[in-house]
Amino acid sequence: MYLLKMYRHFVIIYMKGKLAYHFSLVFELIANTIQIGVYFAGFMVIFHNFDTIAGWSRNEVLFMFTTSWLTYSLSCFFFWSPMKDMGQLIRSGKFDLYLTRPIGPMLYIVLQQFQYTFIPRLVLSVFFWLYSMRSITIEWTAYAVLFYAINMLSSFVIFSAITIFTGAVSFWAVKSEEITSLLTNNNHGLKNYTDYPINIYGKGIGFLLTFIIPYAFTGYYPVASLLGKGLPHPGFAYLSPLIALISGTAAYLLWNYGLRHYNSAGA
Amino acid sequence: MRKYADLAMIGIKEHTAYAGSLWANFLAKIVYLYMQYALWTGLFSSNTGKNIPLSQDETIRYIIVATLLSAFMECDVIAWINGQIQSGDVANQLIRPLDYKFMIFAKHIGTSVARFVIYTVPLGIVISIFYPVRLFCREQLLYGILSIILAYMIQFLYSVIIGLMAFWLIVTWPLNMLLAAIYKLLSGAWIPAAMFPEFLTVINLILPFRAIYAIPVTILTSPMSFASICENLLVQLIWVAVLFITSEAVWIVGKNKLIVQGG
Repeated sequence: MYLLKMYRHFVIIYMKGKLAYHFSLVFELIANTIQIGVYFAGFMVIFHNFDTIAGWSRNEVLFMFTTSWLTYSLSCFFFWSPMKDMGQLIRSGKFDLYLTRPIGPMLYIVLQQFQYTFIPRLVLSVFFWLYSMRSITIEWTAYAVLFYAINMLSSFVIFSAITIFTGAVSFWAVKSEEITSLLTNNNHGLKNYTDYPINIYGKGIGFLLTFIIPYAFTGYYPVASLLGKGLPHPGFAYLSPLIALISGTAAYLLWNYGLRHYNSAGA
Repeated sequence: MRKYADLAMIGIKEHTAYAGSLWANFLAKIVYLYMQYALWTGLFSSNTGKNIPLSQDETIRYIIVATLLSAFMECDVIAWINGQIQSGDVANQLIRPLDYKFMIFAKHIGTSVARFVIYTVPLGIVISIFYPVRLFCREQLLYGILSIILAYMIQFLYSVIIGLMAFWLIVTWPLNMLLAAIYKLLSGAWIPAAMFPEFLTVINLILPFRAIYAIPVTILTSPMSFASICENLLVQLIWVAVLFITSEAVWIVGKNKLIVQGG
């Protein structure tokens, strides 16, 4: 409970600081809205001439990728900015500051900010999520709702774990920005692969997205099962919580390991 | 001329100074290209028999050629000019006995040469190993190259105009981000322009974006009549003229407005 209270205080301070330059804040939000909007527009243009891809209709694909974008945006509110900045924090020696705080450095860097620039992505995702729901056939039984909710939660954990992982890499390789960009860049990031059913890629990529960087569990496997698509391994649809547990634990251990071995870059 | 060549050398050196990130950038292009390849292949193979403006081969070749072109065409001209105007460094450039726009252009060419060698050539080699088809229509290659040169000029002049907006705007990145998003979609660097729905095609007719990727890449990859090649080249020529005059006007008006504090 005291964490929530602390988070509220931090966010109020953080937003006050940002609101001092409210023009740039508004511009940031508008620019992000357009950037994400163009991505969706492009998606619609790609499907303008086509009805289906690998047995999925346009709206089914849309439903799948907004499902994963929803949890991704939520995860990024907390983890994206601090983990992206880890390389910079360590290079400049500013990370030492967080080691002297009365709460853990991870907790501190996560709580002290709120990455509002993901709001447009969340809003547009919700919009297209609702839009896609009108024309797909899922019977929302209590079981299906529970299944979907648990997978959303797992997907949140998986995304957060991958983000923390890229941040924790900064403890060793001081330039982690490139890894972050390779994974999550809006133009060429690996995460974009999961905006479409992964059976359009070769086996190698499928393996990579399933077992090494488990993005496929954030949308593809569970949603494919909900929509009644034939999966080569139907059991994968139920593995998301397990993968979330494993990747979450791995990220936690790596972070702690990195923290213990951290030698300051000098202040 | 000699001086401009030196500036081009500076462009090459600046671009190759940080070798570490070059690998990541190169890998990113391969990640991007494979995704596009898989996406379009997937789309075509599950929609056989439908009437689609481009064939599967043409689409894949379009995507590859567009990526190869963008690997050396896209430079930071907007950011350079923005930065120089905002920091006041542009005053130092103005006292030099060289033309400002030509200086930027020389540096741009240098960067392009560096990017061509670092990205386009190795990417071309990787593609020729994994996707060994003839990428270009041989009969139209010459027109294609001419079209690339025109596209290169349009891209540069467009970037100059947007960069010079820093004379009037205090914060330039929202405008840049907005235009970059529109540019990405409408230029045809991402999705083949032939695939666009009707209303986007109409909007695109009055905008310069398609002259940067859609026209040269289409000439290079799709067989077309001599008349339509000429028509496309003419459209590009008109845009070169329009953007050149606009950039001159913006430069003259902006320069008179410029006040640099201190020295």
